[in-house]
Amino acid sequence: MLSVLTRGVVLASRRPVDGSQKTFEVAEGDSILDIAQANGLDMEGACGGSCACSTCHVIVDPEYYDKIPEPDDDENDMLDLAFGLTETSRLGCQVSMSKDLDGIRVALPAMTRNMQNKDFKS
Amino acid sequence: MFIARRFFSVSRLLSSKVAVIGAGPSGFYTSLNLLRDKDPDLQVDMFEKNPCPFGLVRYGVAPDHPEVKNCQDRFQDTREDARFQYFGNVSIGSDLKLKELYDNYDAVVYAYGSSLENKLGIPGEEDHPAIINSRAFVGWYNGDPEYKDLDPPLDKVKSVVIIGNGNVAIDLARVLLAPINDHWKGTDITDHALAMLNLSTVNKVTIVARRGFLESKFTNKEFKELLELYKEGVHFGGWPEQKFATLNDMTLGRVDKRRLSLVNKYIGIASQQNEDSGSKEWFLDYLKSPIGFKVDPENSELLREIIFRESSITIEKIEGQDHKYKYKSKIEPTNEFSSIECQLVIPSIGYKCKPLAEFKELGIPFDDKRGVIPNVDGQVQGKEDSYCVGWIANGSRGNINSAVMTSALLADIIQEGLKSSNKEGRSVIESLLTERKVQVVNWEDWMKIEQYERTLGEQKGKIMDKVTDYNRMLEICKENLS
Repeated sequence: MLSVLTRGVVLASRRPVDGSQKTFEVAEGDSILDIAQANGLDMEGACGGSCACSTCHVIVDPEYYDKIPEPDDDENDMLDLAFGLTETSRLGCQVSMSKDLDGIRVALPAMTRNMQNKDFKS
Repeated sequence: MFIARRFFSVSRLLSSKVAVIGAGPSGFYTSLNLLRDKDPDLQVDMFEKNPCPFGLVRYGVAPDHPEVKNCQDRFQDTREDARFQYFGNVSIGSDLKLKELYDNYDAVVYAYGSSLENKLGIPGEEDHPAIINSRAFVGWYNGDPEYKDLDPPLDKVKSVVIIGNGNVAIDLARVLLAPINDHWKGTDITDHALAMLNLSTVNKVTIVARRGFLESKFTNKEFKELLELYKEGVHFGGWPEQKFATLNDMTLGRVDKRRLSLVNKYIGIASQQNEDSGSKEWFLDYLKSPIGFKVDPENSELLREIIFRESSITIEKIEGQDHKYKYKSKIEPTNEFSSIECQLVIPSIGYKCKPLAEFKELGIPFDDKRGVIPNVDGQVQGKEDSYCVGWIANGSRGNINSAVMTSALLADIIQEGLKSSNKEGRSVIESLLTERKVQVVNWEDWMKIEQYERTLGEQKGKIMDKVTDYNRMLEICKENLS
């Protein structure tokens, strides 16, 4: 099972809108990106899941982070470009569901206004 | 009958209509996000001056990075939604007036990116045949009709200097040095580029930055890709490490630390390789500002060298938020000069955007110096119902990644301010274009071009073979392909 906290967008002129949590039954081997897109969640996988962008960036619940095999250099290089990077960030296309990860919770990073150009490393 | 018609026109629904100018990632992601709204009467019309959509995804992304182009599939999701329409081969300013968009749509979104390159400002840059701007060079190997006849003299060149430090500079180095045989197989690199690369004698590329190592704008992924070409005989020859010795004592951030470790790792590998007379080398160089060129006395169409003014650097540690340190480089010109022997120079220092012709008249501001539309979070300053996104809003930084995010945020903002009206939108625009005999390229037409490119590509063992002539593109749209 995979729980996803969907994106909460903080609007400057309104109070923050918290995302809702959705839970899905999933199959072993499905990547988090596959699952998100199959269920209509707000996750772009611009490069189609080939580790060539960071649009499927998710924040993994710290309790589950260590259960996922470590990211390789390529994934780390792409993660470095993700906005709102955290200690437990991963690319959704590189994390596949397994029995070890049953019950894993991930959050979609919130996008905020007033992001400045320097926040984007191109 | 008469009465019934009058009732019909009065009871017509108000609806919201958005015009998007530009069919690159910014235009498409903004449109896709606007279309998330379930409003059945929403209309999003996209205008693109080229027949083909996708902007730099088609003409900028390197042929050996096909996975980056996967976003095109997502862009074509708009085909499923009748509330969206693509108008290719329609130039705002000539085929349609910008004012006509304002008259017929409730919001206008500028997403048309850049069409100019930043200049070094050095004599010779504009007209010497061996000083070729990156925009032209990339367009040449990517099938941009504007540059198909560029014909860079790579068969007469051994050493190339690339001025700039972004991912485009890395792409250029890779294109110039990657071994021909396998690297481009199956990709959509243009035939004319492949033919010239086959004759190329280039064996040395130097990527020169004005500033320092910490200011390098290329990303580690692309950098590593170039470094890895050592496996195919393309060696990293080094960088001015003595100028940056202090970096080894600093606690660098993740990205910088990784970049430094990549440099150190691959220099180690290079020194272990045997000297190979046929091998190719590339270098990083820093703290050099070009001031002039010397022409080859025996062939004035080639250069002999590029001359630089050297800069000095001191890297300071600054305390930032939460006791985190940042490093700031202080870079100053010196009275020292240097040169690099080369026959070809490719300035790759970014791009600039142009205003559309009617901006002044319609009160749309433009910052000529930076080449952007002044805006706050994508809302055009001082002009209602006007938005901008992508390079036209932020300058030529940011890639597909950042387009995904900024477009999503902008769509939110547009939705908040979007009015409903009885503006006519698409129906009036279509009439105007028909009256003016403009050959509009719609999605179906684009699919004909795409199908043609794939079929031609298949015959040549390529994923696709781009049509490099605008007229040919338009001809194909008119053909009835079986």
